[in-house]
Amino acid sequence: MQKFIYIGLIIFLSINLQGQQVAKGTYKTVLLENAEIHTVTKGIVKGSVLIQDGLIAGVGAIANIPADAEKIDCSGKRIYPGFIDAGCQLGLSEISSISLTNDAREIGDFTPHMKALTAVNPSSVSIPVTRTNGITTVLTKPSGGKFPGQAALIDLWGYTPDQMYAGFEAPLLSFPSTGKRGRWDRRSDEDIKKDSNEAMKKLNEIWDKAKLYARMDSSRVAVRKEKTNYNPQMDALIAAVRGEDNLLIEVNSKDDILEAISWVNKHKIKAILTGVSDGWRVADSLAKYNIPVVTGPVLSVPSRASDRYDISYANAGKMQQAGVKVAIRTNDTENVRNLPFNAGFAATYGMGVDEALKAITINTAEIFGVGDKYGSIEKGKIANLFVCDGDPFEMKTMISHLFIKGWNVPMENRHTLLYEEYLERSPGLEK
Amino acid sequence: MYKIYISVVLLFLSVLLYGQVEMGDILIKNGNLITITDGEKMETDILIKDGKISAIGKNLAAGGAKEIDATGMYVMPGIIDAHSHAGIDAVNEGTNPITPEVWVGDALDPFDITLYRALAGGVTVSHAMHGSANAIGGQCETIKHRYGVMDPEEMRMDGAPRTIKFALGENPMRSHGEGRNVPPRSRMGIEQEFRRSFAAAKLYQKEWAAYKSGALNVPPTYSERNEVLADILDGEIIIHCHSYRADEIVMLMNVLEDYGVSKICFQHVNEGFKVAPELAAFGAQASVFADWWAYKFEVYYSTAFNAAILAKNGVVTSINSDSGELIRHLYHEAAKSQRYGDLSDTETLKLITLNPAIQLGIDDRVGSLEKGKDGDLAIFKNHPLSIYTVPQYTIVDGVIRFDIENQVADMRLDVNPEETIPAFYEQEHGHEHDACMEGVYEQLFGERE
Amino acid sequence: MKKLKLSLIVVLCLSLHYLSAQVDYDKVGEVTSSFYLQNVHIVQSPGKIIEGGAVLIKDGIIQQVGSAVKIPYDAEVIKADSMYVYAAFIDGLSHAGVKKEENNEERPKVRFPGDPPDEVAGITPGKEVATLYDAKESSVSKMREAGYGIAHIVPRGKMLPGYGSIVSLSGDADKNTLLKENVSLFSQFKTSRGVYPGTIIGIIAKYKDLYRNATYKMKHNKSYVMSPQGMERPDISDAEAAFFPVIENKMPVFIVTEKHKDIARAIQLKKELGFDMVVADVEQGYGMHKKLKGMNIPVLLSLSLPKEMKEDKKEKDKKEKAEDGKDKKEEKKKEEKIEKKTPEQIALEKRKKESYDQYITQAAVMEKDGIPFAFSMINSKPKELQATIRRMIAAGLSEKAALAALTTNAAKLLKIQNIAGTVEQGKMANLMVSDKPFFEEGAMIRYMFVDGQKFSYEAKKKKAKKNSEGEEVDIEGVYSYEATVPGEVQTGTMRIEKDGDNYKVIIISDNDPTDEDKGENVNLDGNNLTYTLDLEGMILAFDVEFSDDEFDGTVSVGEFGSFPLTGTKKSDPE
Repeated sequence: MQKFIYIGLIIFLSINLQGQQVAKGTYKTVLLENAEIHTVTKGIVKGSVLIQDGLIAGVGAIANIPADAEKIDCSGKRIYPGFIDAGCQLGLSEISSISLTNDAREIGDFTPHMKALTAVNPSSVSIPVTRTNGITTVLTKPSGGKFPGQAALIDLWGYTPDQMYAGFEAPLLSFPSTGKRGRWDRRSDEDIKKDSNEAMKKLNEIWDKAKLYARMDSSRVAVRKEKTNYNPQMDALIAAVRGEDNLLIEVNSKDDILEAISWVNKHKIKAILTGVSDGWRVADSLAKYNIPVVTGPVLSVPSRASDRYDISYANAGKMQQAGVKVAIRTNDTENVRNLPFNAGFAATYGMGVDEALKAITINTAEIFGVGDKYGSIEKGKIANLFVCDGDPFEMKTMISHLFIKGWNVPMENRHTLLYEEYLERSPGLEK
Repeated sequence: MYKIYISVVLLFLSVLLYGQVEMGDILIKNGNLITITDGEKMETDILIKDGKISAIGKNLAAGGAKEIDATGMYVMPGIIDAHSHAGIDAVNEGTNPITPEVWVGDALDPFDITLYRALAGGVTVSHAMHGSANAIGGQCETIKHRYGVMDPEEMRMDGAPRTIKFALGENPMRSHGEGRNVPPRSRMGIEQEFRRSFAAAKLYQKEWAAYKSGALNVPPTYSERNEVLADILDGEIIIHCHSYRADEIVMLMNVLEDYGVSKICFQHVNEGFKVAPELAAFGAQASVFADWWAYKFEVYYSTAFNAAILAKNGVVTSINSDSGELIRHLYHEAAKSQRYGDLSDTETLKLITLNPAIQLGIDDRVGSLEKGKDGDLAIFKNHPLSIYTVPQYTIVDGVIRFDIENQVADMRLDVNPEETIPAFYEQEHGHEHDACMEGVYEQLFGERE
Repeated sequence: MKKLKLSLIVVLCLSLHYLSAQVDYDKVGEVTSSFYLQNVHIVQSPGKIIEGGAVLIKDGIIQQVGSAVKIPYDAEVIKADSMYVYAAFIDGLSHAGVKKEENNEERPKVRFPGDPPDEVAGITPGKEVATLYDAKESSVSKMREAGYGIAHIVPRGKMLPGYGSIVSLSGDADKNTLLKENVSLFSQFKTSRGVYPGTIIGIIAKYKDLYRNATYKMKHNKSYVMSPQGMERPDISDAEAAFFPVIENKMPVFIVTEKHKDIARAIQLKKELGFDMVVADVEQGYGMHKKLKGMNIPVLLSLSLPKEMKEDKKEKDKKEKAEDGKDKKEEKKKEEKIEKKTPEQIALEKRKKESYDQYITQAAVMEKDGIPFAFSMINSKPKELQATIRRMIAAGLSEKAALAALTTNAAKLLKIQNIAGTVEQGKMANLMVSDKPFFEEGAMIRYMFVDGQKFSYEAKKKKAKKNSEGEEVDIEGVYSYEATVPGEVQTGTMRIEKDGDNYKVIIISDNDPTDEDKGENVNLDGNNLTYTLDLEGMILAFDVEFSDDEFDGTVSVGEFGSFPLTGTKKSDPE
């Protein structure tokens, strides 16, 4: 009990003592001039970007520039669409070793009705840290159990989760796995197979029940009866069961992926496979059935001791070359800011810069059904973008301006503030 | 495919016949040399003879040495990781908060695939460390990544100074205070662990001095533990201390000052930037993460600019991995200091070459491209600080230990004869934070579910 | 003559009435201590064979060996025509006769796990195996059945379980079976859960600490004994005292080092501390064997080999089926059905095969490099000895070297070569008689002579279907069992049924067919089933191994020891 009070106090105090964590953003009409615009979908355009009312109002040579537009000269600089992380826990967990600061995991195996969006902490210290590296939007997801809950796409700007919501929510499924859970997993091969068969059986039972529920619900609607029962878990799965909405399925080893693909085809599910570390082995199957893939982190250790040392760097590229639509994620909590570097490694080890860029912008947006609003610099899309002095995959590159939903977001966070305070500490050594 | 495989295996097996550490002769031609101490030398040769750098210049003669054409490539000193747990079979003797007598060098594992993966990332030397479960942990071992040797003895970097692991903060408190209801449970308790250990060691020294001089006629009780603590007091062992909070860093420096110990390098030291002047004044060094933070409360107030702040305040700073994943791309981790702190190329590369060498006391042997130093090199296509760099060759003692052209997927040395296919490991969510706490959970609670 | 512990005597008096003046009318002993093996081929020592000779033993000593040995009037003639006589095997390191302790996986409750009492930490180097050895344990008879006459027995435990002794496996608890007491210090890299030392690095550090402490204490003790006045009395712990003979190089340390890295660590420890060492249970010795040779460290190889690879087995099965005259067409069809393998799978299997080859050619390689070795049974199963040696021979070990490892080399290593190891006049009457040359397929041991005592074994029926190691047998069914306890043979029925993930064991003794006893703590590991039975407070522990339609194992009755238990399947589960 004392521990909880202590923790609560610290967090309460830290937020209040600092007041706001960073300076306030500003919302104006802005013209970014003389830049090299990397639109992602329409090539590289030289010119300006006009931001108005939260949207991109013009790209390139812009005719009618409003008089009250704030002009920012971007000579020698580049503009990129805000990066999108296709899977992480940003905003759901503050300090992973202190369990009460972690809201990503609810008790129970079957909790598809848990909404990550509810638990997002808009004041999480990690949010400003993330967006200053160019990531403007993330899919944050719950964990734990077979159906951990619903992931939500959020923009990294807003005072409430509703303000941050970016228009995509989908339930997750953790597919029965035949791999070892970690170095300390001492189960024998037979036990692992047994556990996964049990899990598969349970999954099929749940899905059959969900199908029945969906059918009953359709019938109810057809006879215009009011909904009288309360089954939030099944309600959460109705759209996925009917194939109307996505189901995000976490699956990694080759055999499991193939099993998942046949399961998805059998039940005609609009699936997005996530994780997919063995994807390169079954890329043809993934491409054949047009199943989009979210993979990452790219910077991870190969899954088998006998795998090539660089296979996790090359995985995304190999799938993309086989014709799979790939989005990259960090699967991280406090270091989602490394997304551009994950994409950079994928680019270096076979994916190429252009495809890697797509994998953290337009591909991700399209996979999550928001490709009309996010993922590239095109007129009419939401103004999520940043200005930098070079290739954003390179570590040397500095980002100078950041816009989320048209808001000019200050380029500061806990790390930069501490840097400013302590680079030349005063008092120094003297008391 | 198999031919390459067989030749690779034969190469490794051939080392068996020698039994002694293998030294090689190589001429690397026409590379862009990043010497660290003498600037960049474009399109220059470097010759290694009998495992040592024998010449740097243009148009050098091979004299029978193996040749590598490094035109267009970047040649830098082999990367040194000052904090690693690769290549050892035990990390934490977590049953007692004071265990300086144990030594990870007693349990070297030459077959650890992580060593090969590190080589593939240009790392030639690493500091295999005891974990952070104890206030005074065990002695560590500086190893060379001579992947392919069967005898653990050949992994040691002969002549490297002795080092030992200390730990402050939540880890020892969690292992002993919370885990076993044994002190230390607070930062106050941790300070007293050091003081009582050093005090005991001082007494031990006095007793044995008395016995050796004949004043005592019976030998005092021998204690391996106190022997090592006495060696620390005598300045024979460099302390590497896992630490996070500014106040505990200052505490340890005060304790060391009281006992006349000065050789210390703080590890992780996430809040080191808050006490950079104090660290510089004491002469303490710092080995930090590039950007890990917020996984524990003691690192909640961290900054990725840590390395830059420390370096600019005159503290010898290095960037380490403490991870089997990060060790594969330390060049990338170091490069982050160019975004977080605007360090120059040389300052940045020093963080993973000369500086960790200084912290391990081996800067006379490695850490820069200078005549007479060990032939440990890493050769890259594209500048090592670019995201687009790809390691091509990694050379240890003049022997090519990683060659991107000549290698197969399965580089394991020790294969289980009863296992058909190596096990598939699911990704642990996020990162392996606290690789420093490896083994402790099992020792406390038995096998995990 | 060392007296056995009183408790053991009391127990054993139930079955043997020898020390007291009472007479046992149930026991029928041998009528003579003299045996004549007629018309046998005698393998005197590796490479030295006498065809068609005879062996005469009396009072536990080999009296005569050769082609012209007369039959004395008081000798029992053993009709071992054309059988082969070998010196009984000598095992380099084993736990036979030392009861297994209950599986105590609980962590000991110690206030300061960092500083536990020596017993809790597994540090009892001075514990004498002589006090723990029970000749009636079924593990002893299993060793004998496998061909062993003498073994170096060590206590069970963790890091430093105690002193080992060389024991004659005669099964006669009254006789003095200890040939040499306290000849070794036994050691393992095994930790006691949750207390210091808890890891390999802790063990090695503790070793050094203990050894060096003992060295100083020994010195102190010597000075004190010489002139105690004015000197502090030395405070020597049991553990430290146990090291004294080792420090003086009068007693070697036998250390279990299965893998390559273990050997390397043991060598380093020896280098640093300077004690005499023997490495035992070596499975992965190639790569280190040259170093061992260079340092004159004797080697005991393990008698466990990796499971046979499926291809090797397929070859063997094919051969056997062909011998049995089965349909060859069927075999061909099966081969074609094998699924196509990816290049990666092929490469992985190749690596596995290479590693596998290294393990099974280990003995052959040592022979080639001139490194003498013996075997240790400590973590292996005696009944697999023959099969294992044959696999080693198939991999290149010569029969001569195999026999030497089992006899003469072991004798030399244990320093008993003057009384054992060969079939020569004057040596101990330890003989193994097999109906064919022992290393030949199908050879079976028919007689064992240990310390002059005769043990005879019936020829076992050749099983119609071989059950190879590793194949899991369906143990469900109804069995008839037979337990040979002192004084009688107990029979009954045993039913084994599947119960969810586990099994139910129900025992119905023929003595009381109405009463069903249910087995508890049932655990199946591969083909090995263990369970306990609570009979009015007395706990019986069962440990049986299943193969096809039979099982074979032991039942342990508390302090009384363990007794053989066999069973045959009557029918499948109802």
